[in-house]
Amino acid sequence: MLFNSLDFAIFLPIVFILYWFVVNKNLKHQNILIAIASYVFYGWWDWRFLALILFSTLVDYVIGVSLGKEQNLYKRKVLLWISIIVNLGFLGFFKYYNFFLDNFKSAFTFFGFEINANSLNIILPVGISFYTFQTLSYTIDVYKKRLEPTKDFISFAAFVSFFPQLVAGPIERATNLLPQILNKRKFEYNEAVDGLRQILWGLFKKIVIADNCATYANLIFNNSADYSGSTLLIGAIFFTFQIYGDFSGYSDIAIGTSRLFGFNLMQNFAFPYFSRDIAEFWRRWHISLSTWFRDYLYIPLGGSKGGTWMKVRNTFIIFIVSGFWHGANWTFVVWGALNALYFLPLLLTKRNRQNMEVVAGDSYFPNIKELGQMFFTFSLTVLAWIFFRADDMHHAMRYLSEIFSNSILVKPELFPKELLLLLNIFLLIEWIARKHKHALEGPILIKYKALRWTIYLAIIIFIFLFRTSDKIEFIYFQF
Amino acid sequence: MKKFIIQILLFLFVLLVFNGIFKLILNDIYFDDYQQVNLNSQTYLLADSHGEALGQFSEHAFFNFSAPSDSYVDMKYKLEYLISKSDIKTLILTVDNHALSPYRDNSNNIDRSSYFTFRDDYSNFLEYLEQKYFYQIFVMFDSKYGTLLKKYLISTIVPDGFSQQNIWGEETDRYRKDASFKRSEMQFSFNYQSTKLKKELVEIIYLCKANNIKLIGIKFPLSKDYLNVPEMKNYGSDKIFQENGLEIMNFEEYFINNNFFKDQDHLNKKGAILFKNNLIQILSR
Repeated sequence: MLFNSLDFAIFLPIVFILYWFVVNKNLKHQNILIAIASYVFYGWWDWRFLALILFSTLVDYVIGVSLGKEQNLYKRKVLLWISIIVNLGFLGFFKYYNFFLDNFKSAFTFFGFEINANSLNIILPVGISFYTFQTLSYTIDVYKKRLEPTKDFISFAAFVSFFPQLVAGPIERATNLLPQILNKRKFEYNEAVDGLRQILWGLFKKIVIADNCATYANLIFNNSADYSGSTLLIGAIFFTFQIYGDFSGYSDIAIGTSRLFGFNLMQNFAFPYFSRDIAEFWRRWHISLSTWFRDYLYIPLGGSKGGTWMKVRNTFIIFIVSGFWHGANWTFVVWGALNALYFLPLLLTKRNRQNMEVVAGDSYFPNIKELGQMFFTFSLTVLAWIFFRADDMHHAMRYLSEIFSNSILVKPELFPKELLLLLNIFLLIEWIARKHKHALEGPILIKYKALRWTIYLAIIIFIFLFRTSDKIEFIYFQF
Repeated sequence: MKKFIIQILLFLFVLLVFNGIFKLILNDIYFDDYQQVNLNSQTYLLADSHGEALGQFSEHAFFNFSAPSDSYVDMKYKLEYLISKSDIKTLILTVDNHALSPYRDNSNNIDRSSYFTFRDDYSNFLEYLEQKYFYQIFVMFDSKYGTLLKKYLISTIVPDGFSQQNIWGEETDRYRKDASFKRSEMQFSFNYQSTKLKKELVEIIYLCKANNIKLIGIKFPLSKDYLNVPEMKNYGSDKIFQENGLEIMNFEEYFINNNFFKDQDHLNKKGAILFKNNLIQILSR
């Protein structure tokens, strides 16, 4: 079920009413409702893959309970590895089987050997990368004794399948979400209202910004041979905004929806395009995944504590794995490696934590230095996104070489003024709200009701007027 | 919670008011004209923009019921309406090459032609409510109306400075070639005919036979640039007419002069007047 569909507009109020008016007296009933609603939400896309979630849930539940009882270190390790192998095994099969097979075949062919193995026609289950990481975090935390395992299967099932964040995150830690599921929730008026505001802003980002940018980004990337470097640059910028609007929009809707039910999920985006360096960008972009890799991969590998070689190795590992997590394509690996290259100079010169506060926190406008830093960081991300969006490495290299050719000086064949104006307005709103958790959380919105409602209406009217006729799925559904 | 629910309901009410305002504007710019029909006529022309370009036959007993993007589904709905409400004797129906192209499966006027439908046209009551009323009342749920309103509002605020060239012959060779190619890519990119539209066309033929309506096929004039595009195909609505022993008036090559067209496949005002007069003469015989 898509967040921006009529189905969800009907589904959400029904679940809300049942949750707060029918089963509100009983925590267990509320959790049963969450689990059932989540399975309906997921099954709306393809009910056959519900079995996969259920199996994963069952395995991690049993392993969690066993880890709670087991004191023998060796046996605990075995249990942990069973969970890791099962979860990553599913992920590996559905997401990476064909990739590895094709690359092995290519490698053997290169050395003069022919092997006969056919690729499988595998459908990637929506959200598998997200819920796999979520359940893994549970098992690892229980293994590390950071979390008590739950014996309540229904609550655990609700935690794994929690519908607002099931298919595209934020990837919640068991230490944050599970205790909320196990304890009674209370309806908080302010939380619910702000949740609705966050949903509205998320819809705006997805429908108005991302989908409209997608129209041009797809046109330009899919026909890149027909356009000059200047148009290709515009295409890359549109994709930069598309992926931000799409993914952060989804996260806002997920977090806002959770707040309606009394849950607090972690912030997933913090205005990343106003970052002054790549390290800051990665503290603000897809925070739930970055911190997951930091806590469960980077730190166990030694983090940045060792010598230079270890720092370089760990940085490359975390970024390349992060790239590979997005998809089975060399373009994602290169995207990750490129970000590692951007990040390393900062890490090695110990400047990776120099921009921890919000940019221009005490003033309305950034100074020249900050503006230059933001522009430079934004330019680096635009270049990296070209690899992320390209069909393959060949496509990416051709795209880049055209941008860095003389045709960058040619008047662009496509220059949608209306959309560029819209992007500027969008950036301005996000700039004003950069100290907040989402753009509609600003103080003006707290004070004056008439202004609040006018802004809500204006956003809804914008969504109505700028909605594209094509139903464009969220990009991160494919990961 | 009570406060929350009240606020939500209040806000929904305000939204409903805005929806009503948008609906009124859309009635004015989109729905009302489409629903206008003279039920006193006995001869009707049903076609898409090729037919609509001819304008009304006001001084004659014909009614041009064509509309841009009308598909055979829309035309069938209109015909059923005419059968129940008027004394229709003759129907002139488009059998242009693209009429059975699958691109018309999506590019049509079903949201508007549903005005002419009855409960029996739908398999169940929910579908009837959804197709005929829901999106037409709650216009803010449909992206098509948002796009229409946006275009209308922009044209009101910033009047279009680019007046469209109305004489195809005055365009450059390159422009005519490119525009014809683009249009043909849209209309003729499929290698098969639409089964859904074919079924509707067969039903139209059946309805005419069952109600003693004389059915005549018509192929509208096309510019020579368009006739010569390599992608040109015929999806075969004329063949279905021939198989049913029905008459076809083929005007595809009626004009060789590009000055009678406003683009590759639409007559301009001058061309439309000349063609219409000729059509009236033929039909009056």
